[in-house]
Amino acid sequence: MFVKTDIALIKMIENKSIFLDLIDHMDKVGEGEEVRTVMYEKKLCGLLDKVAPMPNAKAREIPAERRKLESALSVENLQRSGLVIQIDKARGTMVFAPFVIEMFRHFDGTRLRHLNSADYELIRASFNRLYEVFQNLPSMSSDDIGFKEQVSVLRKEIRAGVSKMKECVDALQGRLTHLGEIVDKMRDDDIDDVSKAKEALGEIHNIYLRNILPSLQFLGEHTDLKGSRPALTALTNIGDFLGQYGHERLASAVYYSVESIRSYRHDISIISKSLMRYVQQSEMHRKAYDRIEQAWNQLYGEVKALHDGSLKDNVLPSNHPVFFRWNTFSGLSVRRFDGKIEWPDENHRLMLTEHLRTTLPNIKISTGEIHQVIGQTNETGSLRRQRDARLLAIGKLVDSWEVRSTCDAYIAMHEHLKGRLDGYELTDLLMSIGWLRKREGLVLIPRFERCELTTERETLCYYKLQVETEHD
Amino acid sequence: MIEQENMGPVVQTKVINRKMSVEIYGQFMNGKMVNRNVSIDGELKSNPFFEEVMNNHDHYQNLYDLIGYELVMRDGFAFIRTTESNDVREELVRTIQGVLLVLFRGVMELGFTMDVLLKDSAGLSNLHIEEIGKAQDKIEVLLACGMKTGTLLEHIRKLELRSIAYRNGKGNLVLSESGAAFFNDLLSAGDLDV
Repeated sequence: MFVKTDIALIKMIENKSIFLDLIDHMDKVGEGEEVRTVMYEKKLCGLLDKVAPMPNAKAREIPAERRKLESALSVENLQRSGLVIQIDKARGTMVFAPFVIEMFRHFDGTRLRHLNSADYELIRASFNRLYEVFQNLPSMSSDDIGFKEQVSVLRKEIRAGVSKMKECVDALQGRLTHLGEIVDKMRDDDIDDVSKAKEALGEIHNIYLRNILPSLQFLGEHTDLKGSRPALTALTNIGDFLGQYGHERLASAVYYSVESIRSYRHDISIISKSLMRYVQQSEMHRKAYDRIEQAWNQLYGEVKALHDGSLKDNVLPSNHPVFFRWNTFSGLSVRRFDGKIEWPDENHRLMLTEHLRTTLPNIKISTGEIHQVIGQTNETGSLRRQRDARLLAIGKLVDSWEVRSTCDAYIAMHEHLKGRLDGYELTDLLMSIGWLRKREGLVLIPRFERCELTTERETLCYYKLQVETEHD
Repeated sequence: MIEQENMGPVVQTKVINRKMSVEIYGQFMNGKMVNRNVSIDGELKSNPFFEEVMNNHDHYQNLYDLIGYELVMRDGFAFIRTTESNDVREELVRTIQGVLLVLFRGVMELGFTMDVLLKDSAGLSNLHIEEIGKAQDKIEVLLACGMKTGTLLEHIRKLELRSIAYRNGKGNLVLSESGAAFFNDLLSAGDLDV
């Protein structure tokens, strides 16, 4: 069943994934425009099974959808409809019509073909040839049929050149964005990711060498080419030549097209700069690989040389030159040292002292004058006075205590102070014992008997002090 | 209330922290590297010991100079060494270089890039280390470098003990600044005579 070209083309577009895969394979293998027929048929079978799977082996039960798709996309139908221009049964290859491939490439910017040096050379050669043709034309009159023909060719060549440059820039940008994402999103500890990123870096490197550098060379106007001239120079010369013969409008159009092509140099330069990061990354990986390979081969070579069959101890001497090529760790200490100086982590006093010693010098020291602001009280001095007054009051109360012999000075002082001192606390009791020691006419004798004194809020643990008067 | 006037420039005195100095001494004398960053609970943090050595480099240099060592301060790590030749010391260098080269070569053979050992977010898993250590050529090199017993995984511990490598949050092996320095020395070295 013959399916018309437009229907077949629509079916192809509807199932573009297999054709995009084929284009990827073509670009990867580099076999030009040829596709292996078996590969296409296999992909088609996969597609048919996916769209409408066969219920069983009987032919008459083939689903209609499957039958239609198969008829439209079969190799024979594609050839009949002119979408495949050649089938080589001997080699098992087929060639799609160029416009079909170009159409699919335009569906995805990353698959657009990049111009290589051969393409650039063709464009350059055509501009140079046209310049020579114009120079050798017998008449430059706008009525001359030969002149008109050449002007038509010139316009066509310029259009082709500009569109190819645009296509190339778009393709490079799309492809590099795609490859850059693969590299940037790579997880270093995932072998699959690393493998994909390595492939991407390799492709970027190839693009740089085979597409970017030739394009920069093509767009350069000062490149010295033997027996020829750069493309843009040739076009400018054509414009100059046409201007000399009074074709100013035509010359302007040529100059505009020169500017148009020249503007792509900026785009290519930007792509080139963004590409450099990946090129350098690729170079670094290659260099690392080479260096490690070299170092390993040298070391392993020395190890192999030890294997002379003498069954001796196959150990490389530690002073072997192979270990002295790098001095990264040479002379490294090996002494097992148990620190004799142990920092006393438990001693908080020493910790605080050390902290103060190291931090105090870093505290900003004022060089200003110090004075008291009028009308303000010195809180620190006031507190100190209050504390001194309280101490004095405790001292007076202790002096007023009638000295007598008792087995527990703490209890005696506690009983004496608690009713007489405002806001009495057990710390006041400790102060009073201090005062009591200084009082004359009594002796405090420690008793190794631990006691506790408890108030509503505080508890004091102490050893008993026995009070003996000097008369006893 | 105290007011301050005429705040002039303040000269801050650098003071060696005694506590840190003691700990740094212990690390150096045990042949450990003091790296710029250290992994604490799986997170890479600035190493206070390295900061201490860097901020008081002259003091520490004099200190170790007086006791017969050279304080080596390289980009990102510090250690002490002596110029006196010593068999044990040379054996240590042989061991470290041997293990590192086995690791580097193994990483390349597995299909990784060196970033797997250099980036804290990545790291080489024990599974991969074991895989590297099983290869016959790696076993031969480890033997020739004096490591007669034990697996590669056990020898890796020597790198960890000396802070040449550490385990990241995922438990994978990553080279510290000192380990990476060996790789950088390898890269910057001229063409080797093979």
